[in-house]
Amino acid sequence: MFYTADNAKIQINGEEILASNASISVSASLQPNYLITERSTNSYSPSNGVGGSLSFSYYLTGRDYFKTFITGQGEVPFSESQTISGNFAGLNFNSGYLNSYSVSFSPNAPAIATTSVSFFDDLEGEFNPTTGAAPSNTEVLNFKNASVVGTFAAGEVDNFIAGTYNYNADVKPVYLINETKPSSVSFGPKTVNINFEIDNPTGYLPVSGEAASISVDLYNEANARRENFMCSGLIQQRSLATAVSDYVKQSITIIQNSTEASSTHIAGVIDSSFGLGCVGVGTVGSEVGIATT
Amino acid sequence: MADLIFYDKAAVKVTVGNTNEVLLASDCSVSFSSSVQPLYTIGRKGSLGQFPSAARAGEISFSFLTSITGEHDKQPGNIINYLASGIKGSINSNASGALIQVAGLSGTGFLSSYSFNVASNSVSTSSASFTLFGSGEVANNQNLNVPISGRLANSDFSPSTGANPAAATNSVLATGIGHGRFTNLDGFRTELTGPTSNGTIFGADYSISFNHNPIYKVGQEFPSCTYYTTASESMNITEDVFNSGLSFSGVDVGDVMLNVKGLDSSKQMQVGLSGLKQINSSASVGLDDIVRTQKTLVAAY
Repeated sequence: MFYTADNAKIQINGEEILASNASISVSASLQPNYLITERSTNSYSPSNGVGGSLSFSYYLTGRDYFKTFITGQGEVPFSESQTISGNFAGLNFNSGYLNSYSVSFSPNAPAIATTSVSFFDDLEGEFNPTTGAAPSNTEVLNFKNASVVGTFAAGEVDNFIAGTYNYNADVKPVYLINETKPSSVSFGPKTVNINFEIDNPTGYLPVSGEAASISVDLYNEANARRENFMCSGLIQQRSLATAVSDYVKQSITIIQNSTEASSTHIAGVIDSSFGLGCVGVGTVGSEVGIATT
Repeated sequence: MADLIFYDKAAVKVTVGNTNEVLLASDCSVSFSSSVQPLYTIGRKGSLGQFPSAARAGEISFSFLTSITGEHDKQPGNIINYLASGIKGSINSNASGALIQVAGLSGTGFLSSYSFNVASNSVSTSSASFTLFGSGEVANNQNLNVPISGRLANSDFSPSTGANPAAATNSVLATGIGHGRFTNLDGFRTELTGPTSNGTIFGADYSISFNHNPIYKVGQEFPSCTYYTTASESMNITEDVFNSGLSFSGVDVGDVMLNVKGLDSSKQMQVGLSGLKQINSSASVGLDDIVRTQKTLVAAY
């Protein structure tokens, strides 16, 4: 019996995802048991727990649920919501973690995100085909309705042509003795990077990198802001490329290694007369306030 | 009911920089299209809707009599030939486009193809096609940025001959049209030696196509700028000599000037072809006809 894509609904934490494609895989780690003097065997032993991954691309229609995992996953306070349960046409898992997330910014193109969720248990359930009509009132965001703002320590950029936003997290299961399903996971480094093609060819890149940030806002047709992708870190790579019949393309890559939900820093000090004041005890001036972002 | 525009009120006017010309067009077509595609989701039947996937773009194409009495920047010939010569000879990549106006519709487009033919005892006809991408330049009126704007209306442009529209009398126009009677294409004929055999040319079809690269960016529908990249030129010659000596690397023809003349043989339109190579030879015959041969000459810029 064969089924079509129309019959394979995907749900994450109980919510249906408008995915354009999806794939799920599960694998067991087995190693062959060889005996001395033997070079073939039919005996195997598990060397690790069962696990797999669910990858899918989906249309951005508004506030993206998965982006909360970028800032929240693995951060204090821990909560149950950090675990992702997935259901792909009836095959389901309960201990998933966001592994990667990316969005490509292409001019005039529909906004599509691609994610990969790792899970560390076996798949439960059975393939259960569903039927149903597509929702008719969906608004898919488009990068025609986007604004890009960049802040650079040096130089100016007038045009942001296209780019990608990527999030990667290192998630490892922690197994206790007698466990095949991990009782906890270990969150390693999380990285956000943004790669953008811009219009000012330069090779300037100091050894310590260059502070920069790029923020991409996505709007709906009613011009209401529905999504934001922000990467604030250091430019760690510049590239310049061209080919016959093409123009010279300059790309930068900003890498951000801090992915907390918000950061607070002293953006400025304002005195009682709303002018920029001085910082620190003992400085001359009246009361000061601290603006945070 | 909308006003009906008869063909005599749909003149085609092309403006390039500071020069313009109303062409002797015999037909014209304008198209404007938006690119939408249905999006589908797994687990559901039917589409989520149809969503844009690329910027809107337009195309204007027209055929016209090959007028040769015009003069643009001291180059004789019609404005399309002037534009094509300028682009292919350009060493600059920035393309500014040409303003095309017809029957109340207008837009700035980039010449994508231009062709004309010359045949014995026949009036030469040309055709041109423009691609319109629109412009991302900020303007007070957003409509100015779209590829094609306006609504159908009479365009009462009088036929002109370039820099001196006042000279566009019917008599000047009649003798200022390319014709095969006095156009000499001997520079393109096949010449064989031992024994000597020189071809007789019955006709020629010239065409050139241009590639333009619009640069689109996130957050803006229309391109920030458009670059001219490459051009490829070809000429199909019909004659009566078959050259079987076609080599692996083609036959070098070199630089040739094509002079298209009208019935007043003192006037001519020039097309310079550089680095021509013959890449093809063919022969064909039909009932009640002589064996005719064709060869294709190509050049690239």
